[in-house]
Parts: sequence; C-alpha cells; structure tokens
Amino acid sequence: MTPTVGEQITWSLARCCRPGDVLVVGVATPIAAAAGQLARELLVPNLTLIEAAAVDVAPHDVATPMVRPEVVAAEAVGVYTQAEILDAIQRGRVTLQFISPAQVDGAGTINTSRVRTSDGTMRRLPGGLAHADIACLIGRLVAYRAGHERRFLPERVDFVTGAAGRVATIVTSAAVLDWDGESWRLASLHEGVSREEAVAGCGFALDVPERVPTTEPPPPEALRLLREEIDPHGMRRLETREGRAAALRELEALS
Amino acid sequence: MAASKLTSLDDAATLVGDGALLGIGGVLLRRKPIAFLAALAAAGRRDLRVASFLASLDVDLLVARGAVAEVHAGYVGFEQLGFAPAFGRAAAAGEIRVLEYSELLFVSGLRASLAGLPFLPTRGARGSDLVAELGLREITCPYSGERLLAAPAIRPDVCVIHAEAADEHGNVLAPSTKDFLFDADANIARAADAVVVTAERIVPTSEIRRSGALLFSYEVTAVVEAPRGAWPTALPGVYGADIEAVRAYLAAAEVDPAAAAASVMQGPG
Repeated sequence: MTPTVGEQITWSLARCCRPGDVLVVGVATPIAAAAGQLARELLVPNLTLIEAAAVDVAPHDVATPMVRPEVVAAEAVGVYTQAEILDAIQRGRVTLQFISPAQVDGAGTINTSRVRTSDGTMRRLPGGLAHADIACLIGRLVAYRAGHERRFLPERVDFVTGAAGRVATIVTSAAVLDWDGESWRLASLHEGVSREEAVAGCGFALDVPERVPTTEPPPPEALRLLREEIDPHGMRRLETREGRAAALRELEALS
Repeated sequence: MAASKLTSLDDAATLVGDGALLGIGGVLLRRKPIAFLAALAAAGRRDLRVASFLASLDVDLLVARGAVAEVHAGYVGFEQLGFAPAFGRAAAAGEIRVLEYSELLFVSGLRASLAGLPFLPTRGARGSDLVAELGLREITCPYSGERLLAAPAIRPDVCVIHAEAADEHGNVLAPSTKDFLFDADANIARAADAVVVTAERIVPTSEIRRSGALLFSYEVTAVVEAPRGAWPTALPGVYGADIEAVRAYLAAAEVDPAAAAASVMQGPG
C-alpha cells in the first residue's frame, strides 16, 4: 500500500510521541487528531490524548468532532473547562502539540497571524488561537504542512505569533526536519524526494548530513487503522490542496 | 418571586448601544447567538466593539452589515471551511480595527473581570508580536522577581449567549453535553455588566433545578425565547451546524457580504 502525502505526515507526527507524553490536539487539524489516535493505538499506549479540551476520548472517527462535538465529549474520560485546559498548559503539564502554522522560520519562530502577499501588503489570517501561548509553554511542538516551500519555511517569519524555542520537528510533504539547537537538520526524506528538492523548499540554510535516511513509511497496520477506523471519511485530505474539495463535500454530507 | 425578564429580541437589542463593547458567547461554529445579532443589525447598530473568544459567523455577519468598529478575538474564521470573508475584507481595507489575542491573553482578561480585578498575570504570549500590538505591559512578581504579562480585564458592557433553555427569571440551563468549551459562555457572561440570554425554550424553574444552571437569575438582565436561535451554527446536543448554509453564506459573501449576511439573518425559514 502506497501512502498518500497526508498519510505519511500523519505517521511521521505519530512517531514524534514518546512514552508518558501529554499530547493536545487543537481544532480544525484532522491530521493532528488522527496522528494522536494512531500513536496511542500503535506506538505509545500510555499517551494522554487531549482533543481540544476532551481528555482520553475512546477511539473514534476524526470526522465526528467536526460534525457532532457532543459525541466526542460523551466518549471522553472527562472534559476540561475553558480555564482548566489553559491552566494545564500554562502550568507546563502538556508536553507535546502538533500545529499547522502558516510559517515556521529558520529560528523556529511560528506565524499563524498574517502573511505578506506578492504585492507587499499583509494578509490577515483567521488568527493564532493559542499559538502565542504554546510557543513558550508546551514541552515540544511539531509543526506540519502538506507542502514544502519557502512560503511555509522562510528565513524569517512575516509576523511573530509565537516565539522561537519549542518547535522540535517540522514535518512536510517532502521531509522531516529536526531542530539541533542551532539550525534545522534534514532528518529524513520521504520516499521519492531528493535532497535538492528538500533544500530548495527551505528559505533558511538547511543542515544536510552526509547520509539522509528515507522517512519510515506508515506500516500496513497503521494505514489500515487510519483508512478504516480513525479516518474512514478521509478528513486528512482537508489539509492537502488536491484533496480538500472532495473532503469538504464529504464533510457536508456527514453534517 | 422575581419579576419576569422575558422580552423580545428587538427590546433586548436596545440594551446594546452604538459603540458598546459587546461580548458574544459561543465558540467557532457552536452556540453563536445569531438571532440576536440579526436583531442588532436590523436595528442599525453601529461602531460596536466586539469581543468573541473564537469567532466565526457571529463577527462576520456583524461586520458584513457594517455594525462593527473593533474586533477583539483569538480567531475569526471557519476552520476547514475557509476564511471569514467580510471580516477579511474590512480588515484589509482598514474599516475595522482588529485586536488579535492569544487564547491565554483573552481568557486571562475574562478571568480578571470575573474576579473584579484590573488584570491577571500570565506566562502566555511571551515573545509574541501580539504583545506590543495590544499594548500590553509587564509586571514583576513581588516575591520572585519573575517578569509576567499583565492581561487587562475584558469587561463587556453587554454580553449575549444562546442556550437550550432558561426560565423567565434568567436561570439558564447548563449545557446537556460537555462539548468543547461548554463553559465558555458562563465566563464571558459573568465578565460583562449586562447579560442577554436567548434560549430555544422557556421552561419552569423546576426543570433547571433538576439539571443545574449555567447562570443564575440575578446574573442575567434579559431572556428571549429564540427557537433555532444559533442557526446555522450548532447548539450541541440539540442541533448540529448547518454546514450547507454556512458554505452558501461563504460563497455568497465573496460577492456581496451585506446581502449574504442579510439572507442568513432572516433565519432558518
């Protein structure tokens, strides 16, 4: 089974989870939600998974919270209040979050607020949610996007939504990059991607080791779980350019 | 027994003056008090300063109708459905002032107001460009010397929320299911000086005694019966979001935001 870009990213995110992690996944990021469930099923059984504010929700279709949020809450061990979940983050209890900002730069600064357009004006995005907070409060952040271009990976962000320092890994449609304390290092290349392509997509100097392994593809059991149980309606396609329209139609049909 | 606070949408709308700081309940595409906002827009309200934690159709409709001067929010958009068209256009044209908050800054501001305090210290948003943009100041912890941000209190003049049920005195039924941020409406309501509650049903107090209250009668200024008052956003446990209607709005608003908003504000029909 050949994984799609969305499936490869999902598996690479799942592999960032470590035993004992407390992972929070936000709203409108089905790939992050799917990755958390996949990690809990196959890699880190003791992962604490917080979906928005619902803690340890029983295994479920990632489309459900998008159309029937009350079902997910009912299937959770419990639900934090608005203040409680932010307190947990502020106190430092959350160790990991997967985020999809508009930009991550060469220093690991994130931007979810606004981007400079080709005519030089700034375009306002919907907003940073808790990105400014988690950038200085959550143990590790993993930034991802189904793309690999300088617009997403600039030398410097157009606006600092969240300060640098906590983004440990970047997962793109082409590669996995690890922060080595000073710069971004090419940790692995997805199947079929050249190191030249990975370098060309970065607006910052990418540290490329002599030997770069191929990113571990999702094993058959991960693909089966993802396609049949965790995301049978393909909501992961919402985060990819080519799959978005079809996934939106499916989401509408479900609602 | 306290007097009835039952009133009409139009009468409740008079509680919100031009230029008021209006707190709006609901989060993303859930529990947005759309019926009340329609009444406000129909009354020709102008220059509203709107505070909405995670906004969507609420802010976009008011902006599309030309009712807004300022937006205080952590997010204004439609998640995977797309950007907020009227909001984006008005922000780019400089017609509205946008104050982007982080979630901790916004909620710390509400909690300061809840406690009657002028600000709440927070470790959130450090190093973010949002800090200077919002004009936030730092304070020094008198015990440890740690530098913290002082999130100023957010105290709306009026707040409006939509609930499944309320009694005529203003006791509001707690949400039947604890979906994402089920309690956010109580926070923004209690942070405000006056509270309008629109509800699917007006019920006897005995029904609220059985299930528990989100807000107590003395905390609420006016109660309005508004069936499907959150449409086309969801009222979790009662009805889901009408994604088809939301997408139709987003498409129509690309062409003519005011007309698209007016159409949605006519209600579910």
